[in-house]
Amino acid sequence: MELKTSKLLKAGYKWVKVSEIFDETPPVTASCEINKRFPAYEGLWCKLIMAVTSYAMTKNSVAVIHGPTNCAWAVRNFCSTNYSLYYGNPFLHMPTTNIDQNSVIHGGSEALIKTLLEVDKDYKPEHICVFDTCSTALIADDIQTAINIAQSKCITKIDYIPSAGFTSIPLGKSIEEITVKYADMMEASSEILENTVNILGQYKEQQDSFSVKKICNGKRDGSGGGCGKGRGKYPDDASELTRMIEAIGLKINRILISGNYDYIKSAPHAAVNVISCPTWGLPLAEKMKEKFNTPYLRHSIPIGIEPTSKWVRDLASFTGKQKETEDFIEKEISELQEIFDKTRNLVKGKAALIECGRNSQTAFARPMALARALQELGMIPYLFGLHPVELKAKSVDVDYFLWDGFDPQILAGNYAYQQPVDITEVVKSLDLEEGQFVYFTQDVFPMAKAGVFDAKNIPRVETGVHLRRVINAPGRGVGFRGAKSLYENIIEALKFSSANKKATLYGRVHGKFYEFE
Amino acid sequence: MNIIKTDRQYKDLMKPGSFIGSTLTASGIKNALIVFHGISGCNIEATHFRSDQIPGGSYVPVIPTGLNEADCIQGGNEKLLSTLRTSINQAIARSKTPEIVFILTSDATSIVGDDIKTAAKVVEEETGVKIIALDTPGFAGGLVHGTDLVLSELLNKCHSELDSESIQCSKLSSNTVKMLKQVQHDNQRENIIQAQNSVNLIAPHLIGSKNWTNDTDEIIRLLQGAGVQVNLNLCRNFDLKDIDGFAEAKFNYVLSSEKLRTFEKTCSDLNSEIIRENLPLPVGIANTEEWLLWFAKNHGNIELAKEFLVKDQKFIQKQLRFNYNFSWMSTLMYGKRCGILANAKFGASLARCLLWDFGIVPKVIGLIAETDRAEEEAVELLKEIENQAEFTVLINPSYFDYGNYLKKAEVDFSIGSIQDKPLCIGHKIPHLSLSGFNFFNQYNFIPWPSFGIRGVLGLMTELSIVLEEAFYLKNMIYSNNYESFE
Repeated sequence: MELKTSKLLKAGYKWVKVSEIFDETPPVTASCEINKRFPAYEGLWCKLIMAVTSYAMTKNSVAVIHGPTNCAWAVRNFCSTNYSLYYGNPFLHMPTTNIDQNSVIHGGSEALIKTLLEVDKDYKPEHICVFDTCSTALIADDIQTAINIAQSKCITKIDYIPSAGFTSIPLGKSIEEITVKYADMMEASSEILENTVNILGQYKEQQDSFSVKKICNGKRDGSGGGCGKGRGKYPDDASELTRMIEAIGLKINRILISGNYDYIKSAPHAAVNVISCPTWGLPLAEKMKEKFNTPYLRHSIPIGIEPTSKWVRDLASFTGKQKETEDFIEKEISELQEIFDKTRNLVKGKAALIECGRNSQTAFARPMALARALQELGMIPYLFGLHPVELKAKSVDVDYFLWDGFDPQILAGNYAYQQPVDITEVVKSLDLEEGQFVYFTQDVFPMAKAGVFDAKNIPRVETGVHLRRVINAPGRGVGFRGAKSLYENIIEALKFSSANKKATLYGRVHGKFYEFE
Repeated sequence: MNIIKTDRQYKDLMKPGSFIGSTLTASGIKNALIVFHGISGCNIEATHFRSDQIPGGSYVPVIPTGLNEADCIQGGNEKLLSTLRTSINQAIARSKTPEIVFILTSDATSIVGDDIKTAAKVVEEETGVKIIALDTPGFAGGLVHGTDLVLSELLNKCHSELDSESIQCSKLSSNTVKMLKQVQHDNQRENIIQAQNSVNLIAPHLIGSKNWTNDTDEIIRLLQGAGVQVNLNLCRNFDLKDIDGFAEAKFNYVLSSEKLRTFEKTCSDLNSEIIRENLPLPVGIANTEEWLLWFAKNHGNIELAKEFLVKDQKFIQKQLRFNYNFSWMSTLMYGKRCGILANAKFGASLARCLLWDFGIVPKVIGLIAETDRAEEEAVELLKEIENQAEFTVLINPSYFDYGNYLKKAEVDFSIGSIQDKPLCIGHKIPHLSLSGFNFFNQYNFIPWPSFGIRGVLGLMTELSIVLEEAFYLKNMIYSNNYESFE
């Protein structure tokens, strides 16, 4: 698509299909070409942060970080702020081996062995997982041997997830490598429980399934955290997916990553795996299929009526629950039809400008699932602000959406220094005018400038999981309940922007402050 | 006072690495630029903590060099050079030439051994912009280490032309001149100026209060009110050109008491003394009175200090006397028990303040210190209350130990930072963030101090929030947002 008068044109940006940008981008391992085409591409978090925060979803466990205290602190900071407080997860203990300059020269294996023995004795956890860091990976500490030595003297089972921060910098690649490691903690089962389902790809919130509470037996781990903390009136995606699974007469076996060690270990008892987030879920599902022959269904992150119906029907045909499923879907849709029609009438033909994380430039599956839901409403989705290297690293997600026949337009460019693109230029590039589009944001620092671009004149819908909380609906918006809340939010944003003449404080701080100016 | 020090190999405590200390210091210099030569996880940590200096201060960009896996093995010098050149030249083109550029490394680049000093020299020669290259990996040390490196280099590189003789003869800095003008308008203070007993405040970001920027402003206000000249605040809203006036101050006041080894050695070479007195931080009324009168007696004017304190006293009394809400809350908090987890000097000062000013008993005091001096001085400060309450002091405790001691002590609430908040909530202990950093630690946007006499209004407000949570809202909060344990 030709860009109109936007400055983005001069900077070499263009609108292309997702499949095109994916094909055009070199493999993430092609360092030289990436350096040339995408100046100062940095990534966002490191593999260690992603690995330990996934492990933070488990109970009665301790993450031993083999590195300097700073590395544990960086993860602690991320866990405590983004995960524990805002997702209601308990505190993860993450002692570090406290590697210093001497250990960087002489090696830190002895420190790791000593730490593992001390942690086993002091914390008495059910499970320990070792995570390495840049320092200990670069000096090539023999971590597995150190673990083996410690394991011979420890009661607690010790596992290892390689997580040096300098490896696999693109988020999708690091997640893919981390999530499959949970299959190594599982045990094969000769007994498959009929009509039971695992949900894979839950990675931020502990869910409130009864089975987790029962298995963990309310055991505390010194963090004060127990099992089965829920979000109360602010449910997570797993709550909605569980509701749908149970509504068609099936049972939840495990929701991963969650529970305690025994809970994870016994995941292969399930008859089938279904997927919540594809980035976290699909690689683990593939691995479980390979190791335990557990079948999985590919539909993921079902936002909107049609994708949700497809997700449930897929499960129904696998388990023979078609009759119950059709009754359930009919009932759910009948309750949604009115608000769906109302929303569709308001937004049909408008552009949906979906930002893939203004600063992070890493969000893909969620914006794509949202785009699919908005297309169902008659909108024309445009994704922007996704770094091409991050997209390339999410080949699992890309494959899934293309398999589902969804390939929307996305803004391709070099995203130099990972600077966000100016949304007013995005608007210009599509030759849009006020009233012809809705802005869907994903994270902090959404674009706003009173007098030019503010929620008072541009409808803005926040869709980031952590900042969008809706009573009785999952934050990401999956399932029928998620669809309803998405439609409600769109209607409210349109009403606010069409009738309101007063700019928000947020917009005034970044733009025209007073009306008299 | 029961003092417990861990002998474990493992550490699990608040200890950001050296590059965070450097970032926090460098980002307090106006019109500086940081080029971060490390991987993404470290870069984002630095970027986040940089934001501590933003409210009321200035925005210092942190530009990553964009390292990937191959660069961390084969070296990333080319990217460093390219990022330096691009970011400096772009800034020059926009007529925003940085006054100083810092190159900071983290663990991977440090181990690989990229030649950051040569890169700095080359681009400094090309562009004429001063560049300081520092090796700041997390394994080299913590906040204090990184802070020490930046401060020492600032003195060495920006101040090297001055010898001790010229320092003695140097003219007054612009700050001092401004101060003189203010004081001359106020005839009562004229005599103080001649004393020339001015101080430099050193490393305010290490004090350990989440409100450290406002607290530092209050420290300056109090000192000036007592006739003590504050020469420089290194580094908060700092003008690089003022570094030439560094040695005009007779004393350097390291607020946290953490030992800044290299910096202090450089100060000594410049005949610029470090204040050795073990002073509490001015948290609450009793600490502030002791603290300010010491400064006034030794470096200012005691009568002026008393006059200033009385002015603040009247302001406080006007707010709180006969105030029903104040009476209710102060009575509620009296005799309650709490835990504290904070940087050593702040933690010790806060413990004294809670006990003396509010009648709250600090049962568990976790002190975080990187150097022996900070630890020893904090323990010394606590000796003054050891016969007034029974409490346990944990030196650099793990979060695991701290949580268990809190439970055992049956505290009503705990004070720490957001990083230990989930731990306390997990133990069903209400939590108040007062320590740590500003970043993501609290949502108070009002620029009001927690330090000084006026700061008790801030403390009272914060304590009332946690007391309200502890005694009135806890069941509601738990049942709605957290599972309640049956």
